[in-house]
Amino acid sequence: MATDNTATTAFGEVSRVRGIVFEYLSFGASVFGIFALAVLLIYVTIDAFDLANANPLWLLTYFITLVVPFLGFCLYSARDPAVTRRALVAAGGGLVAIAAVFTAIEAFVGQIPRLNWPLAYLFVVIIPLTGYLTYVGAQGRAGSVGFGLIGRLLGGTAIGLAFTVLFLVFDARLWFLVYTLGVVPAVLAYGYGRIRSVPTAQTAAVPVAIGGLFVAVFLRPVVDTYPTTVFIYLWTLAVPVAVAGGFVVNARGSRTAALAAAGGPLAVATGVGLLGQPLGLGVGGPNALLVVAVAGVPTAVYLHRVADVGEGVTGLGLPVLLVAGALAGALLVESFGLPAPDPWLNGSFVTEAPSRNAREAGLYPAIVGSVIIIAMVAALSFVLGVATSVFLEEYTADSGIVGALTRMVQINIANLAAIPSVVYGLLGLAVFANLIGFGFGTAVTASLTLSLLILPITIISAQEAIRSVPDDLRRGSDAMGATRWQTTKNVVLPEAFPGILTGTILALGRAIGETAPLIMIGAATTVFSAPTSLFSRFSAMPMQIYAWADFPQAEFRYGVVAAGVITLLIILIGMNGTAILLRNRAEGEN
Amino acid sequence: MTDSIESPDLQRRSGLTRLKEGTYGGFFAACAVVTLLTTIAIIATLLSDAVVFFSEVPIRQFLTSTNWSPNPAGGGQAFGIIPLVIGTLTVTITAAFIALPVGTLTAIYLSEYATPNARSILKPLLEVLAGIPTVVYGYFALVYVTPALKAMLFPEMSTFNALSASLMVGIMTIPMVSSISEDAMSAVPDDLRQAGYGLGATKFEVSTGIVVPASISGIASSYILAVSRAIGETMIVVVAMGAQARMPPVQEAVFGIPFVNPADVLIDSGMTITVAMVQIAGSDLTGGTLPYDAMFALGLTLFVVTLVMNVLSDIIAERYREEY
Amino acid sequence: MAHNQEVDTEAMTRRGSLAALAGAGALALAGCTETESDSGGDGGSGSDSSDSSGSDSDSEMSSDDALSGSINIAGSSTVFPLMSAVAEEFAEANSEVQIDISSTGSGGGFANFFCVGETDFNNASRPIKEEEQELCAENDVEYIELIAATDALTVVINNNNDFATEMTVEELSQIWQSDAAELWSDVRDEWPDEEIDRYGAADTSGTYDYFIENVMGEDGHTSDYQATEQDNTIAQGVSGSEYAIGYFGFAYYFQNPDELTAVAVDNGDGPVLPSLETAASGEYQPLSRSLYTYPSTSSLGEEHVAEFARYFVSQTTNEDLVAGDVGYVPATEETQQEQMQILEDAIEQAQG
Repeated sequence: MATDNTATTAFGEVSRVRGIVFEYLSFGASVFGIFALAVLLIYVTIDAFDLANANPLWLLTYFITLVVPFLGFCLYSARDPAVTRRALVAAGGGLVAIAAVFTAIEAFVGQIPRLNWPLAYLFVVIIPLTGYLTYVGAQGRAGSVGFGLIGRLLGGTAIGLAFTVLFLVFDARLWFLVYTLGVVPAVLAYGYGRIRSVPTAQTAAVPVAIGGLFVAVFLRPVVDTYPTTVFIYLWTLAVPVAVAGGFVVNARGSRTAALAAAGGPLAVATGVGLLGQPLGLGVGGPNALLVVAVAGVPTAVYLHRVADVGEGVTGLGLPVLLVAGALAGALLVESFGLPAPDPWLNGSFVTEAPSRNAREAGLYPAIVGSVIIIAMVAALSFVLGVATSVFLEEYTADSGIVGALTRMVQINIANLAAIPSVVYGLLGLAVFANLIGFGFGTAVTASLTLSLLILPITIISAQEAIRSVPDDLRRGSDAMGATRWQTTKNVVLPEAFPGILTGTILALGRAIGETAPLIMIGAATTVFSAPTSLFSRFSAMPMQIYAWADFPQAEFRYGVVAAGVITLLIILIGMNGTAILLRNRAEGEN
Repeated sequence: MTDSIESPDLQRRSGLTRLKEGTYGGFFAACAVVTLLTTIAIIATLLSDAVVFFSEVPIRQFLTSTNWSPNPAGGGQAFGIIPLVIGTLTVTITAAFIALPVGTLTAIYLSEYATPNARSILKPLLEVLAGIPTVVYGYFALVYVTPALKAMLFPEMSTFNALSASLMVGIMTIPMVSSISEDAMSAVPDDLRQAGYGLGATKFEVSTGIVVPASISGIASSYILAVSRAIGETMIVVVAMGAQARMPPVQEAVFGIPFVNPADVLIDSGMTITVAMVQIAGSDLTGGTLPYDAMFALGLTLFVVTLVMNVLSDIIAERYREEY
Repeated sequence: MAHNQEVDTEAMTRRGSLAALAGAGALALAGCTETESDSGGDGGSGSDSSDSSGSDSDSEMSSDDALSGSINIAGSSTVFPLMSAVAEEFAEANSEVQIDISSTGSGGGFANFFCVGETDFNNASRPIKEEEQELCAENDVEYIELIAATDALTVVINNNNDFATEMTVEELSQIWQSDAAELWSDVRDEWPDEEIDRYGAADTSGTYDYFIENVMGEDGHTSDYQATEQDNTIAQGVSGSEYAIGYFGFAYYFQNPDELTAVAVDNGDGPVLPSLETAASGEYQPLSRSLYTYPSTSSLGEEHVAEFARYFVSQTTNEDLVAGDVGYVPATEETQQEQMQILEDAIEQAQG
């Protein structure tokens, strides 16, 4: 074809073939890495959930009770006939195509290890299709309501659980004192100053908080038996969350609804917290109180908003649909006696300690270790990162000491970002563990090391966020007579906040997976119970995965480690997903 | 925004406000200084132990000896970095063979061919490649890639080998090349492309003949950064490449010309600088001794190499950047 | 969840002023000096840290009913599987005791952790070295030596290899010394003219050291071999090549006896095959080695550490655990009693 053209016209179309080949080549290149990773992820998922041994009927049961209703919900929410048609074609055509290709490969090439066509169909067609329909469905009213509700339930539960994990190492009574003597007075002072416009009261908030902190540490030995953990959680976390929720609802105009939205979850949480165990509910105690309150209040506030707006109320049925689907599937599997796969990644994997026996091995202490480290890294790198980027962007000068400092810091950050992580491990080993004496492999040493490691990334992304704040806003603030700090605080930081948060979360994703520095600072290979203090030796998820990958038994290599990898990736995806949601929301608002 | 600071003092600010301003400014400056202190601490840490090491093992010997064996047992202790450099180069070069062409093509596709829709899907997916923890890549290489390669291509492949580790390092560094290169290509002004089309060039000719040359400095600096990342990569090689420091087997070809068959090196285990560090950190050797100091000497080597490459990439990006 | 809560509520009572100070981020520095003095003194165990301010009285109360506190263990990767198996059992029975184990290598464990008072136990695949003893003495860390188990280093050949099933130590040395034999026929004339394919331990491991010391002596170790830390790599290599030879710990061979053929080693008294019996009786020489763990005496002063040490020694004769799960040779009753005596003396001394 092309050669013909060359002979006849020789104008413009000469390189068409070359161009087309090149376009496909470059497209192939851009999906190459993604494709390779996807194949590996499919295998690790199959291993972690033992899907290779899953009975096709078992898969089919859950497909019908859980996946099909969910996809139906998404289509209902999208209300787009074109999308529905496309989805049906993809699901049906994909089935035929996969089955045909698979049979062909097995007939002519050979068996594909640990993969059969129902699984291939699941991974190649159903999961991408579900992802796409979720995305499309979330654009519709019902879908956005349903996913918003699930997001608040899951997110609230995750945050609540993270709090309970943090209280394993942070002293709850000290927190109680700090909160009562420092945070509450400071917030009151600030609020008073704000409402009555008394600048002195606002300024006093920080010294008040710091003073309260010192008094709290001083008083800590006195407070020994009282208050109980339930009371502390209630007073310092559940009540403030509920009050905040109440204010949000109140701002929408309804005082009764505010009381209900705040009081309802609080009452349930208190009830579960105090009475759960005595009544034999199986759950209860302070942790349950915390989780119920932190997940319940935002959910209640959200429910109120949905009811208030009155659109997409059907979306609220989504959680019910999913739970019912899962239960129905379980019931069917049970009643027909379908052999279920025996997944490595199950409830006991995330709640049990490691073991020499693959079937009993769990990741719980390592998960706790990771959560604690990440929380501390988040606090440290956020403060350091934001402060440094504010200095570089807002307090900069072209000349003088400040100018020289800015330039040095700027060049230095780029270099820091390029230093291999294993070298940071040596830094942590020599400085934090040895010189300062925080100890080998303690949570403190690890957090400091990892904070420094991700600091350059945090700073660079925060700088970008700050830089993207339009200069007009700053000028406007300056023109009102605001000081540099006031401009930064009232104009720049609020505008840049979503961007900064996104960058920080992405950087934290890097920190949670880092292993080499942990090896260098001597993090424990195996820990059998969750750490109880910041200075106890601990393990982290990637560290435990590394240790397990070294085990000679195949059950560890193909089972336990796969489950660990999937757990780590789920947490990572959760973090990064949150970051991307935040970014999209911020972009949507602008 | 730098010159917007000198606004007239319209409000008469009290001493308290001034104090507050000063405190905050000082706090921010102090935080910025932390990054400088980090660099200083890294250099001081590495130097203090490396100096002890180099007083025992002359730098010359360290850099030129071909035997790495930190264990003093049996009198075979030797600290020659050459085998480690060869291991590191093996991984880096093989990874570069994947990451550089794939990354460049990806960048071209994203900046020239992709529809906005495709871009918005592909770019975050590519970022995922860089976001996967490296220990996970190492595990993939060890448990899935090596057995697959062994079954299909190289039956003689060792359980720990350079090839599968390098493949994973390559995949991990693709987004580094693609995102920096793509930024550089997107910065090429549209006028140049339009001029190209105006002269009757095809899209292919515009992409390869105009956009790539115009953004060559950005592409080059992305290459250097990706290579520097591959050099410092630790967990993938620790998990999947094994730990055997050795010189490649030299064969004799026709006319007695010595050569090394790359396949021999790739399908066998090897040791990179980073692996040697991790291995010493968890070995049965006595700590606080020469091998322990050697770990810092290796760290210093890595630090210097990555620093030089970073500076180099900066210089290239700055000096050869086309200004439009 | 239930497990979680137990830990939580109990942790409340034990978390002393140390954690309190650490909790206040601003005062982290003050907190660290506190740990330093603490861990230097008593081996850094959690239960005692609250005593430094004398604020928590309930920690003493709780230790009457159940053991609590933390036990830090570091050291040899060879002893690691055994120690973590025992620790796992102990932690199951005593949920208030936190045990962490790092596989740091014997030497790294002594130098970085044990002899500076960071850990309560150090595992070692060899006896403590002189410079390590000095380091411990410098920091006033006293310790006792307990034999954890016996490992019989096993020399293996391919199952198709029917000629080299018995070897003298001298012949082994010829194969592995730095000036190593190239062909099997160089070692013994009647053996085939085939190249020797060697698989052995990485040169940073204690196994490597032991093999040199007890087989080759001054002659050093060849560098012409496939070195790895992983037993199954060696096993794969040897089972895949007819003229291969390798050596590793007893565990892999014990658990997979059909995959490879073990070489009977002749130390002058006729060839002896490695087995639980020959290793325990000391017949399998010179390749059976003792594995050790070193508890620090001051840590034994704490009840939970002492109890763990007792449990550990009592488990060294447990064949299911030591041989079955881990693949080492259990101690004889006699050895166990001796070890227990040493331990009890040390505990008595420490607890006064």
